[in-house]
Amino acid sequence: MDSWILTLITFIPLVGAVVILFIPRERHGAIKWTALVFSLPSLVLSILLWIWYDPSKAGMQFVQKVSWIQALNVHYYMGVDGISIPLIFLTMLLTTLSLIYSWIVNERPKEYFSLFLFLETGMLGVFTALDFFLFYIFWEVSLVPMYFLIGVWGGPKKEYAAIKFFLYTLVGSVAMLLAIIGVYFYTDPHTFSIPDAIRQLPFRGDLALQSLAFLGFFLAFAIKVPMWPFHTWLPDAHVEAPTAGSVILAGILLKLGGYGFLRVVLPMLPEAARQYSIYIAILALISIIYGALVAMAQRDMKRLVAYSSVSHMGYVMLGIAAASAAWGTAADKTIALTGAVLMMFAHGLITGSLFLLVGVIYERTHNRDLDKFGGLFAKIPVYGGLLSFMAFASLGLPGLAGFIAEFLVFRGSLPIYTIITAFAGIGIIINAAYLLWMLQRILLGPLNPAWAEIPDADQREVLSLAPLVALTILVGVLPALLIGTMNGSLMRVVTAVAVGGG
Amino acid sequence: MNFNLYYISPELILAVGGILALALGLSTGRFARKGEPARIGILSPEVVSVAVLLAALVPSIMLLADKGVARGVSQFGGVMAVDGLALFFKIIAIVSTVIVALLSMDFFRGVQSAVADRGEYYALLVFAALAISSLAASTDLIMIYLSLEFLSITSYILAGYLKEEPKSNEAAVKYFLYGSVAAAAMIYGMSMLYGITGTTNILAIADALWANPAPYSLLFLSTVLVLVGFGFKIAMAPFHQWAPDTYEGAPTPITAFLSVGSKAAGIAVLVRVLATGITFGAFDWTPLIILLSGATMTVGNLVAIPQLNIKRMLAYSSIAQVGYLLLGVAAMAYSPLALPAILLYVFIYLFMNLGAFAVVTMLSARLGSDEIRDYAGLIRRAPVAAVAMVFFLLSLVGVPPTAGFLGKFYLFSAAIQSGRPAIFWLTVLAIANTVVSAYYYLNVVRQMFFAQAKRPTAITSSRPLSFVIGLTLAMTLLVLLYAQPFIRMAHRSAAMLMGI
Repeated sequence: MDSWILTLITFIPLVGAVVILFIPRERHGAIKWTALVFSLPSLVLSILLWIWYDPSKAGMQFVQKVSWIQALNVHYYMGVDGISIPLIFLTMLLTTLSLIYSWIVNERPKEYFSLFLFLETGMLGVFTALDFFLFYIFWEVSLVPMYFLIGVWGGPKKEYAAIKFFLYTLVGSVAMLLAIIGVYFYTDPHTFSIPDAIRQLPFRGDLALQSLAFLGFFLAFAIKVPMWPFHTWLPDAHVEAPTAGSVILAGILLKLGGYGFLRVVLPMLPEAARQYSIYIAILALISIIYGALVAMAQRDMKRLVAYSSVSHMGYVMLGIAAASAAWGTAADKTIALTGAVLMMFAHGLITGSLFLLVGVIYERTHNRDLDKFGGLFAKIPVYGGLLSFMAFASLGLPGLAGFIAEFLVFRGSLPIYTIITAFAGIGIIINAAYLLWMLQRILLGPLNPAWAEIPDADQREVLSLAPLVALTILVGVLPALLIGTMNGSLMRVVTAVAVGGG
Repeated sequence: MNFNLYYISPELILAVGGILALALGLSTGRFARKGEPARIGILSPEVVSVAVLLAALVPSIMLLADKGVARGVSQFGGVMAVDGLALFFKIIAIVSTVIVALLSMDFFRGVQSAVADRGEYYALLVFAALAISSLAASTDLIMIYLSLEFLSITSYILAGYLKEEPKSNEAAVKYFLYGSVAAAAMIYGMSMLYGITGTTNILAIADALWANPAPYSLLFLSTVLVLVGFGFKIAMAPFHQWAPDTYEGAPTPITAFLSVGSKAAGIAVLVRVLATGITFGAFDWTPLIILLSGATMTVGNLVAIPQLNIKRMLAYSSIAQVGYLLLGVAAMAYSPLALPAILLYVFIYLFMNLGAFAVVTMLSARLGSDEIRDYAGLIRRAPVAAVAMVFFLLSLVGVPPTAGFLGKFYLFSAAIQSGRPAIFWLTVLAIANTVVSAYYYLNVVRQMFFAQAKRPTAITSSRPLSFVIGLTLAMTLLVLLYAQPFIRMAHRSAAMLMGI
């Protein structure tokens, strides 16, 4: 029985993108409302999807499978499990809030909102596609609109940042393309279906070939995450992108990489995943420490948040590495992996908010230099409160989403990669240091007289941040909401990578 | 002499129709006085030539769908074949020439010297389509040489058609000089093949080489020499040097023609000779092709980066595209997917490259410039053309959701399927090249979308141009989204190659 819900979620925004093209370009209001109206059904459906999802059942749900290109055995194959559902919701939430935040965009709004909806379809497609061919198409489709968003609406170095972003991601993508073709020819019957390929375990017992395929996928996903040393596109892209673009980049596009590891690499290439797990763990550790240290050195607020992403995504990768290790108990691995996915979700909420908050202050002051702020808490208390809240969430304050995610990653990884995890703990301290120092430089101390007149966060800004605040608390207090949905799927990934290939 | 009127009807229609267009051009074309735009009536050469081409398209498609043609029929005592490859490239030749004719209608509106002689021009286009058709169908070395020269001579004249422009003259002369040398080398190689095997029929050559294996060095030398001639046509490195200057100087629609129609003809004959003549069994040409493929794609892409003129940039890009096609040729001996992949890629390349040239044609007449920096802010001035151009360029890179992705996907699949390490590493080189190519293709996008226009006046299209841009854009998306029929056509055409 085919379900249409995933198709609707994925393609309603695309319909909106096309509709916007037919609205006269000077009718800004109509364009913005159209964008929002075509985003809301998918948001509602993504919530319903979460409610209707039955975590007790194994395998993919809401599946739709239609033959597409018979000559290649390509299918239009959509389906979700407990890993993708929270990410689909996160995607819809962040894009909808970004659209609300973007109400102030009055430069070429027609193209802006059309591209935004196009981007939405690409990202949702990656999380819903279960056919490699389709997966790859969505993967690339999410790349092109972001290139334009950075290039047209970005900061002073936007052109450089846009092409750098595009080329870096393309390197990974084309490497993945070769790996996908390899998987196709090493399955029998040849298939692009991700679940079928996982069942068949291509390259089983042939570590050399499997490593080659692993390398292809690894490049694509590690650049997207991004892991050190593939991270250099990230600071430029994040800093130059418009605020909503940074939110989507940090909130969702980075998660495509982590998602790829969980959906493809771990279950399909288990031998290689086990073999190289330790190297991923080491790269993750470097990302955590390096990202945090570089963040500490920043004077630019947006750059600081960007590098904090490198550090936080390091925790995600540490959890993934631990879960794919050749030793350790299934329980520890499941905990580590749960932490990794929670971290993806929490990082989406928290870093998304932080980029919004950077945008809010930048619009008022046209300044991101931390040393030129100071004493703003008394001046703009609502903004100060929101910023403090999110900074604390980011540094892992217990009771908020970031804490429970970090805790689970550490709890799961410690028995498996004891030394690496212990060193990763240093990252938490550095994280706390630069975030608190950031708060101090912006909110405390003497007021810079240049900002004596700035207004506090307005309704639109609060509206776009409030759901994120609420969810950060909710996930922090009731992580079971998420864990219950994804636990079964994560356990299956852990089993697959532990026993796959003998 | 055995021949069947039905089987050779596309060529007959083209030959008779070309002469008709020429005659009509003499009578009606001359009436256009200098200083007046050309009037297009029902009997003007533009309309007649397009009608003739479309009339020839019908039997070509019917023959390709005809089960009776099956694995190919020989005509004129084995000189020409009516088989899948020939018919497929007939369709490519005709469709690309129709598009070029439509582009020319727009391009020559403002060119006074060309208005008077347009009968000749459109007749030559029809003859060029005929030359491609017969080249793709040739199964005899002599016929290959004649068709190739026929195509070259029409192309020389067309490249120099802007008679009052020195650059156009230079284009024609360079093309002619390189072409003559290449043709001389090729005929030398052909005479060696004749000396080795005692026949000029390529199927008989295959049999002779099979029966009496020839010394490797002799076969190597003759293959290389023959490849010089084909390589010149498809602008394969190191025989590509003519391409940038000729592409830049030639009238833009002719540049489009050289980069698609004329190239397709070279690919067709190259594939036919290597697959059914100098077969893999007699002489392993795979390492040679791997080398040429790698050199061609790398040279094309690296030299495309610093280009400031879009026609030069597209010239180098089309050199690189040939490199990707040669990747398919390299895999041909090992992978059954290779030939269908080559055909599919040529089909997709036809639309994406002609689409890009349609936009260039539109702008070169209206901006009076082919400099990439003059495309600044185009999204404001011609939004539809700018957006269409993005899709064409993304397709040339091979990024979804465009057909170029499917084309590359198929080529890479064939390469991986071959299972040869050398071909695998060539594929890795190809993906590295893909990334390099994204840089210069997106440089055009950068100008169109990120930069500000100096004069933000709107640029309007014309009816033939809008039609071409619409058609090529639709195909650039459709061939991926509804891929099955096109893939089937490619497989069917490949399976119908005579002699394998």
